[in-house]
Amino acid sequence: MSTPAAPVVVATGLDLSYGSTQVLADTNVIVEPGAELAVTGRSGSGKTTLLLSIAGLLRPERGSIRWPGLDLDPVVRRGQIGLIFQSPSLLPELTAAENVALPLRLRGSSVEQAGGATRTALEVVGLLDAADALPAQLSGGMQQRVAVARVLAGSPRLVLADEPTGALDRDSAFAVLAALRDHVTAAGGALVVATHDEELAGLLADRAVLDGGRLHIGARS
Amino acid sequence: MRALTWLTGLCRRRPVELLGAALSVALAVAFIAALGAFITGSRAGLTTRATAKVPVDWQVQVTPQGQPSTVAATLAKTPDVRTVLPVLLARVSGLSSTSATGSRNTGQAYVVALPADYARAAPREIRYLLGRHDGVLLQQQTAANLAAGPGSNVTVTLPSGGNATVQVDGVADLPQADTFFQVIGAPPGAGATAPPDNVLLVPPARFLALTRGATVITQFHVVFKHAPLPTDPAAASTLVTQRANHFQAQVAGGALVGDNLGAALSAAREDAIYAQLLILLLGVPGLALAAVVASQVVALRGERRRREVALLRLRGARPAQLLRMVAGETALTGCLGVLLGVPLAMLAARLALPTGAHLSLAWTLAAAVVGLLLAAATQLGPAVIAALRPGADGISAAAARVQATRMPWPLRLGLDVILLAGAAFVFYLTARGGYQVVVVPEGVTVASVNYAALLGPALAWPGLALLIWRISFLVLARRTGRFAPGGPGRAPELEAAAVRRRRRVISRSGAGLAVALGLAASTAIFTATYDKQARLDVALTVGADVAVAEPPGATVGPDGARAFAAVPGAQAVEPLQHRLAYVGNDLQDLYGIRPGIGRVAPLLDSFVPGSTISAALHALATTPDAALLSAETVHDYQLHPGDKVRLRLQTGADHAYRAITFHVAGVVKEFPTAPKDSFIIANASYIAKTTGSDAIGTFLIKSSTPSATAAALRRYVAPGTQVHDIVADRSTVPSASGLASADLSGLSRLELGFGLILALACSALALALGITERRRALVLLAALGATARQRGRFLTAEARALLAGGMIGGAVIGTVIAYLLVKVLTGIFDPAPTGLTVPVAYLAAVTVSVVASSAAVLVVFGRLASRAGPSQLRDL
Repeated sequence: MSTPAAPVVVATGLDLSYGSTQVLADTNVIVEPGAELAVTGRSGSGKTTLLLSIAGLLRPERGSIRWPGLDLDPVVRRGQIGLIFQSPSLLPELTAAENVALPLRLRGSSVEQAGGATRTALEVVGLLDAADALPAQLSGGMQQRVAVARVLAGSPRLVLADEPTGALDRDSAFAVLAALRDHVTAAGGALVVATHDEELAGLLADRAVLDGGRLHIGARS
Repeated sequence: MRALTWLTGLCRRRPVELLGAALSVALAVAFIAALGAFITGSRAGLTTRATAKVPVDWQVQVTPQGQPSTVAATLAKTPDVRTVLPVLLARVSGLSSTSATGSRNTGQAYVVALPADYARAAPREIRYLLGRHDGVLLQQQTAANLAAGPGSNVTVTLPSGGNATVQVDGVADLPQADTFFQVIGAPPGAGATAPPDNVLLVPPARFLALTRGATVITQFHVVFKHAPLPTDPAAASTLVTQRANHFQAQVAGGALVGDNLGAALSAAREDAIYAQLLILLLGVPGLALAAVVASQVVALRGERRRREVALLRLRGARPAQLLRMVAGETALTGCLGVLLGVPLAMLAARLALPTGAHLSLAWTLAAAVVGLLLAAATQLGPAVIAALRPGADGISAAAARVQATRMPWPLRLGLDVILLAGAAFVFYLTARGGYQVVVVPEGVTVASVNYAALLGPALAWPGLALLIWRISFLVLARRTGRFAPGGPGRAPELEAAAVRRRRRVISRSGAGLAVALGLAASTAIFTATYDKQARLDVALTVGADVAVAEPPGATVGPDGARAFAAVPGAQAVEPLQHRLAYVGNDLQDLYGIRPGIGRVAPLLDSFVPGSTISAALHALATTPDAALLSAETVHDYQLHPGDKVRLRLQTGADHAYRAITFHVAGVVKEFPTAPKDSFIIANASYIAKTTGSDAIGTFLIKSSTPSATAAALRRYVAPGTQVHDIVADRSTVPSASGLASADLSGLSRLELGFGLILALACSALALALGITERRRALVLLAALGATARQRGRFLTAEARALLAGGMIGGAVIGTVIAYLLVKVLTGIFDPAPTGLTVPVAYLAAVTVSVVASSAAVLVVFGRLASRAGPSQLRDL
């Protein structure tokens, strides 16, 4: 009998507020390996804050976040978490391929390794032909796909996507989500998607609604 | 209301950018206001200095048909007259004296009657050396010729044939003998006449008895009140000349005016013109640079500003609303700049300009207007263009505009090449004209200035700046990062790619920094070169750091040097013989030197045309009877190197002139303490041997502390001995141009200070605003897992490119512009420099300051900008 794999993330009792606005209030979430969690909620409900907290970029005022399924070394762990932001968030002076390769190079991959992973990731999102284009030469949707490719190229165990398909047409949105799901399945990782899109959320195995700073697992918004 | 919201938002969200823009405007305001203070102060200073040098303002000579009383009465009615001093002059057949060593006679001599209060009213005309200050005084040279002093009897041989004997009460010097004995009424350009060697000064009451039978010249020496004169030397010169003409018309041929004041003011016109040229050549680039810094600061935000304006238009803002918002921002930046700039100007004037310089209201207002215009031109202009962009397509295109990597249009047009070609052509024409930029003919009120010559530096400035921009742009376009150090966690090819794509902004900032550093470097090099030549000029006049000139007739030998060597600060002492020798009928100065004179005196190869100074000194050292003659003497007497020449020198025993043979060893143009025209250099040992006298004229002393050494010597030497030092004489020895060193140093301090500040502003503001502009990218890098060191590498790659372009470009611009300035302003140098003097310490300080401030900005702003707080992360 095999030992059950450790959860990727365990967040307990998270409290975080911006000024007088409480965004997270005793929020708890456990993300198991293979999980596909859709987090929905109204605008301003704290979805982005929750994702940034899980990524370790925001420090909650109270509560704890642990990453039992990831590396203990924070630098290595940072590479095991892939973040897709609401807007494409590409460096304007780097091409699509360079943007995709950047996190890999910063983590110590060679030019060749980073180049190979970049080509594969761009091919997955259908943008290999646009590898040498600057972000400003791409449409908003294409830029978002480059941002997805950047995450895929890094082979993260935990993918945190904040409205990843907001700038995409229907077909592209489904294709991108499929790519992300395929990736976490293959990597034995987990996917957490913050979205408004009910249809998109419905495609994922689990869903939770963030409301009043609390996460209601399995609820519908 | 929207404009107010926009302004409040700017103040809260982008205070650094707002302050940066305001500071750049403040620098321009401060520079103009401080420059105005300099201009106002220096013009007044030129007139004051010119008039202060004049011993007596007018020498009015009564003509044979004139009446002294009428002339005196007319003078009394002339405006602003302070004092009128009647002076009588008469030429007598000779003077003689008898002493224990025998009788001595002179040739023709002048007897001059001066009123008792003459020295008080015209203190620069007479210097008392020995004995009483009243009674019968012998001129210093005459006393030496007659071997007479206080108490001696001197006999005047009268033209009528008789004699008159007087007892000498004292010995005095007439330092301005050239003008005192000038030929009044000589036509302009007639050339100066040599003053008489023998002069007897007597009280008016004794004059007639001593000049019986001689033609008496009656003069009135006039001293004016100088305060009412216009501060501009040209205007003052015109006023004084017109006053002299008016006076001569009133006396109707009864008197002629020797207008010393007018001549001095006329000469000062050249100084004023050179001062104007200096302001133009040093001041205008500084002003332009301040404008460049301001526009660069604004241009750094240009891309985002265009996007913001475009987005606001997309969201329905009307052009008028947008313009109101940006106009409010412009007004805020401009007013803040003026408010910061004026106190900065006051501080600059206090620190850099001579004491008493203060801001003038007119210049300060002009500076404020320029500051507001600058803010409007740099901020409002681009916003207006963006706001008025027609059509939604254009607006959305601007909102999503790709960062431009195309070569900027001035470079595509080849403007740099065109400007530099123009500068080279103008410079060629100026060089062909012998760098004659200012021509101020004596006696002509209109001065001629070749303003076209200024086009050389004027075209070279923008041409070089654009060339540096082009070279930086091309170099950055080829950056691959291949040569950068690699290793785990490094991405040199991506850092290089970022630099390559931002090359337009980086190369523009680099060119701006190059111009700032070029301004500082060119001013520093020009000032250092001027300073060196001015010091050399004074050292040539004085002879060394300190010089002790023995009185005429002194018999101190070379052994006297031993006593001076012990004086504090004295490092070496060299005796220099000074005699007078006849070449044919021409009396010339003869200097007897020892081979070691180079230890103490400034000697340059340019002194000996066609040879080197060491070769000339070697020729003297190896040939005892060798002599170096002036070019004029060699030409006039058809002499050649190796020719034998017989000079007549006074012997030590009987003071009679005896022919002594020398051999021509070469030609000499200049020599320490020697006059500009004709003189001879020979071996001191040979002169001592052949004349039987080793009497030394001057002891030249090398000193580490010239002022202290001179002060100690003044306490030590005998009365009548003169002690000069280069520090004290710097303010009294007039340079060829007479341009006040205080003025140039004031302007230089202003320029050097602003050059440094502008260089710091260019590098620090460019980096700081660049970092602020890239804040989102830095936060993104942090979110992607880049460490602080990795984020810093992206910034330092850019900073290195900017600083390298700026510093190399600055060195090129500084050197080229300094060379052009030195050549175009050759007229203010004496002697003309053989090369540029590089002030290494200042340039090193500027370089270190720029690098240090850039590093500080990178560390501080880099950390602040890449701080990934909640709001920054949610903005991603």
